[in-house]
Amino acid sequence: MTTNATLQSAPGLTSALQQIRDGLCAQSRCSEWGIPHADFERILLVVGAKYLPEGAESSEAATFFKSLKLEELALARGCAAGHERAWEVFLTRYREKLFEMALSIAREAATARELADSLYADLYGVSSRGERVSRLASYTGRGSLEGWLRTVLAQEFVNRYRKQRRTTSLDEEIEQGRQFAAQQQDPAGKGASLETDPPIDPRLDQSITSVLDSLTSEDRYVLASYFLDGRTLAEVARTLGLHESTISRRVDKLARGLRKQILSELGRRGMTRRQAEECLDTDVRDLKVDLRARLTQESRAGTFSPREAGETPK
Amino acid sequence: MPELPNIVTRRLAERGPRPGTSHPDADLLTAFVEQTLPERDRGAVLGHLADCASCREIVALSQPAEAETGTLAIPKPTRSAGFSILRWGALAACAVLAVSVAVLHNRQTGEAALVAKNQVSVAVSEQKSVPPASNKAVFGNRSEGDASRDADNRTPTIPAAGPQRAEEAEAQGAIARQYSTEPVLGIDAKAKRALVPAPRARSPLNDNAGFLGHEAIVGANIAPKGLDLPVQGRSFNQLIPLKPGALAAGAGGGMGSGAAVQPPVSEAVPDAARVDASEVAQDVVQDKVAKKDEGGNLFRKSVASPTQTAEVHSEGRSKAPAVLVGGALAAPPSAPVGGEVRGLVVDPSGAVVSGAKVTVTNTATGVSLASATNEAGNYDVPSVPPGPYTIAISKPGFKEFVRTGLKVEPATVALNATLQIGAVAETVTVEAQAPTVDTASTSVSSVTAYGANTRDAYRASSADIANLPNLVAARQAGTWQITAAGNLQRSFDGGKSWESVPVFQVGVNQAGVNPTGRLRVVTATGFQVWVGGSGGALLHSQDAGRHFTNVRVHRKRATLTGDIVALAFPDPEHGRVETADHDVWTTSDGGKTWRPSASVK
Repeated sequence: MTTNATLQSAPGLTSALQQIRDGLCAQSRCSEWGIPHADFERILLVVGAKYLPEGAESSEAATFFKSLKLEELALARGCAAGHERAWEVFLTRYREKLFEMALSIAREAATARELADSLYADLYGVSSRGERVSRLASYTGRGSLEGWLRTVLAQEFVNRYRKQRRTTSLDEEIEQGRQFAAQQQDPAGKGASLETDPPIDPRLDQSITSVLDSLTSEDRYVLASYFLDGRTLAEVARTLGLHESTISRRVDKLARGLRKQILSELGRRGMTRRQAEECLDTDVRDLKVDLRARLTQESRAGTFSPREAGETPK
Repeated sequence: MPELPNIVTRRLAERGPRPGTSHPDADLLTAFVEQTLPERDRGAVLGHLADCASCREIVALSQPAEAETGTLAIPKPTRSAGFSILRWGALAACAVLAVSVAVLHNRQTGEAALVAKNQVSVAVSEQKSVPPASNKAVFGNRSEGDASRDADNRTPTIPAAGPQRAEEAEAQGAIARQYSTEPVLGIDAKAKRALVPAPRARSPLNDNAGFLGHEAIVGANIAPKGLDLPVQGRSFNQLIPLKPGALAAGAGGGMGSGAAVQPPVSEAVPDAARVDASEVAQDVVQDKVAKKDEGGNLFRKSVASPTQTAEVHSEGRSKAPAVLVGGALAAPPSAPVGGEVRGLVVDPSGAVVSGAKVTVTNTATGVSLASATNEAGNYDVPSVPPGPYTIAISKPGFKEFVRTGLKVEPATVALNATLQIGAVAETVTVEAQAPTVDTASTSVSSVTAYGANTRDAYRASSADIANLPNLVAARQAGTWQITAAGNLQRSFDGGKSWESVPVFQVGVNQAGVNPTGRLRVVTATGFQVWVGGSGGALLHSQDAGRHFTNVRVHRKRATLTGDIVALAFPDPEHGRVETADHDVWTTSDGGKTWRPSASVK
């Protein structure tokens, strides 16, 4: 069904594939893993339909197909189909690496083993309906198989880790003097109190949003990685394939430019330079939240104990 | 680094992925990490990453380890001054040699040789590559022998300044003669042409034989290509010195005596050679480091004898200047030199095979040399004496690759090998053939068994398996299988014949397990045998199947009751059991206690 729909919806894809299919199949050595050429062609079509925009030209499609890691794709699909030799080769290549990769992600042997084990089970694939669904069937050959395994491990790890982190993140945030926790808790109970908060100047909000929106996604990625995730310059540079010093300069330039742009936006919205600077630097909410957090605690204590205190004597 | 204003950081953090958009899949993220995405896709992924903290984290985590991506993995030499010393040493040597040539014009041979020798040995000691005295002595003897033999044959009179310098003079004389006779022996045409114009070079009776040798070369201005032949010959020539050409023997022999040969060698490469010299010096340093990286024999050899190191380098080079100057720099070659066998070992999928054992055995003498493939799958057996050889490349898990009738001559033999994957059951001990278990389960059982002989199912490389004593145990314990009827069988001859192992009589009945239950899967690690069957039956033998005990997989009130279809016991302590209902139980104390894992759906 899917394939037929694909065939109809992407004539460019099909024609591109037909021209180069023999080369692609030969390159992938799919027959070694028990995948007939026709099946592999179908796999390629599905992959192409997934990533290429509709109406992609055949030249674009051809480039796309050639850029795929065909051999690894065929191997993965062979494994997914349960081909024994494919599994042998897969294990020879990746068995040791799987645990090493898990270890480098989890940095702790027990977790790494668990991670690798669970991925292994996924890769091997089991299903109650008697039909095996292997996670390898979702590999599409856009990156190397090894890289894909690493990414899947990382996804798995992040999913678990994030589940755990949610329970601790509030403390961390409170420690850092941020107010997310308070803010999230409050709306449920005291909607009114939120409105009484001293509001941020809407002009500041607008300015920041518009300036952030105007940044390129790469710049925002750099800012977020560096300032939010606490990645080192070297790490950021590596993900982007740039030199560390390039990133260093860019972060520097971005941070300065951001400030300047926000100030000028504020100016455009009618603030004087001095007002704008004060507005940007004084974070009213931090002060407020600390106060409020303290007040909440005190008031709770206050309301509770007097009652007790008042009732007991009676 | 400037800070972002607090409020900006917060706004940045509050941005999430746009509603309605989904996270990029693992393939896209992988391609992003590997920087193989086309610009359009990359922009889309980056746009998502900029706003999605968890995907950023995934990307950060899926960066390969540094070592894997480092393309320049060659560490710097430990002595940071090493390169400059070599370079300046090379230049100094050139300068000294130039001076010595000038001096030689005007002085007696013996004196000149002395000067050259002194100066060159200074240069050599600057390079910290002084050959061991013993090697030098041996080599010196050899060249003296050559020289005197030649002297006997052709030029009876060798002018010498004094008896104490007779050896040097002899050696030089020999070289000059050998250079001069070399066209007769059929050197490369270019070299021949180059040598012919030097008239004095062909005069064996000249009273300054050593000098003539130099002059011949200098005047001839030999093209590097012309030098190829003698150089290659030199490297491998010492066992059979006369075969590839007397020139080569002379060059090699001359190098042994230091001063005597270095002038011709260095002069042979014209001024431009200085550049080569420094380049090669660098190459040599890097090679040294590379050899160190590979460890093993090569490394030990390098340490034991600097001259040998130099030799390995020279053999590895195909460029004539490289060989020449490398030899000149790193001091005279000494040990017997043979051919070199090297190549790349890959598995059928084309992936390189590291840690494969490479054994080169001389079929005539029975002497064998061993090496192993490095991480890049390359192996290199240097200094192989010429002769007929058999090469065997083996690695556990692969069929042994054997090539007979390999003829090693004084040259490099390149032999690339593809290892075929051996049957997993050959080295390991499991088969599961229950009809109710799909074929994939069979392979997973084998898969389990693949690592079953290792302490660590994932980390241990196949090479480790051979070293583990429990492999022996596994062999003694035999190969196990479950028949279609659900009976346990064992084979001691690799599956040719099978004997039934009566588990039910021995263990199960005693343990009170329903004897009608059918066995489905078996895994064995050495003497440890685990058998799983229907109705949650799990049997364990610690003595290769002589006695079985029933293991109840339970924790508190929960008990495993489903049909066990997969077992994994990579070591005696850790194990994993999976039922047909996809319940997974694990143990980390050899089956005493169990822990249910989440069902795998």
